[in-house]
Amino acid sequence: MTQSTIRLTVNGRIHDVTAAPDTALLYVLRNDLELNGPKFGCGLGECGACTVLIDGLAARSCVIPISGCIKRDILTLEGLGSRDHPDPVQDAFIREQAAQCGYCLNGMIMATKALLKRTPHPSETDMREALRYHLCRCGAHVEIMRAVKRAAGYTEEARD
Amino acid sequence: MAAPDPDRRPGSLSVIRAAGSGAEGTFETFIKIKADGAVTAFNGHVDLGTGIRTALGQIVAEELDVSFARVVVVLGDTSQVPNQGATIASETIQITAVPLRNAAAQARHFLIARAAERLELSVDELVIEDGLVRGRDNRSISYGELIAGETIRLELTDDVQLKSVDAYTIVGQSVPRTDLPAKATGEPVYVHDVRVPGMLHGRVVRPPYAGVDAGPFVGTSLIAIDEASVGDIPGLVAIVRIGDFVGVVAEREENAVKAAARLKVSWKATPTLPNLSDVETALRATSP
Repeated sequence: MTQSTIRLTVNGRIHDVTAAPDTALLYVLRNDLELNGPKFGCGLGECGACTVLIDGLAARSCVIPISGCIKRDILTLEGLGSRDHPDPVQDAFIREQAAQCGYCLNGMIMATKALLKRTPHPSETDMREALRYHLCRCGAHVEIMRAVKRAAGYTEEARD
Repeated sequence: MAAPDPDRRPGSLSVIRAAGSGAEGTFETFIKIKADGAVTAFNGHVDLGTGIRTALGQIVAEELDVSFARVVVVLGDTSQVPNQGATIASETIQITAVPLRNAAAQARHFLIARAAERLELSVDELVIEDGLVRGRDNRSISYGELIAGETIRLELTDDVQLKSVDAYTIVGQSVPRTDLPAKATGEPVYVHDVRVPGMLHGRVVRPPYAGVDAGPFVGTSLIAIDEASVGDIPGLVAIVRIGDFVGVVAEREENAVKAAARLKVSWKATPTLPNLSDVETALRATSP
């Protein structure tokens, strides 16, 4: 497929990217925009490490072509919050120490963000379903579930 | 007395060991305390997610009697850290933390002895709080003041008195991982995130026996590569062939992915894996 210039809105900023329209969004985010939040995990949409929000919905950027992202708001982990001003979901993951190597952390946080946007008071089943296809090989699952509960406001201290 | 200008006091205390390799006189540093009170600890391993940056910082802070926040841990930078081999076998805390803990203890002994001399008290009469050595009558002197403009180098030894475990206040406490806030906001550069100017992207095309590492067919099964099968992929830089290793290199990653998927490679027929549902037969078939 020949290259063309495609306009993408990422973290509130406009970028004109020259690439084939079927290029997976992840490669543009990582290689052209030099973002480190979304990770390359499997490249097959199976592990969740590449998750970003597209118009508020969790999407696997390794299998979404950039042609499908035109005129949509793309949000990456970097756009969600910073170390000094973390999003409540990022803060919940930090407080619950919900990572070991942290490679899956992007997907866990972005999927939780999307879950809470559409379901502000999720059930345990909702939480498990939202993260079901996000793989963590270190085994931080218990802390991750605690972080999701904290982000949802279910933790005792999180309410004050 | 006005606070001394740190720039005019470039002194430091280091605990070092002669380097196992390299030119004569070269040494490896385990701990460095600067006259401004900054503490840096060096370890040859890297934090792959096990939290060693945090744990090693706790160990050093404990043995040196400084606050945890004061200790900066430098990991894996081969121009700065001791050569302690690969980060493997759960050995960071069990093995490589030992010289670091000794180094911290040595530095503490040296500094408290010097403080005793300056304050004209015995070591037993002194207590240390976050690098500040206090005697009776509120007289005190900091690690930085004890080092001042001197360059002090102590040779690492394992013959050093360590703190009693009962006296621990930092080790054994649950300290939040120092690396997680950055990881949760996409800051750290993982190996996968390293970018260099003019970087190209590659993908490997696996042989049909991928996963098998023994047999006469390993490394000898490639018949041919049809380079024309990827001729239309833009920015294709190279098709690499080394024995049975086949790889593609492209200017853009998505084009390397595409080329690897599309490249036509012919392989000789390779044996199928033995049927392990009959273990005995499979084992007997492999014995000479």
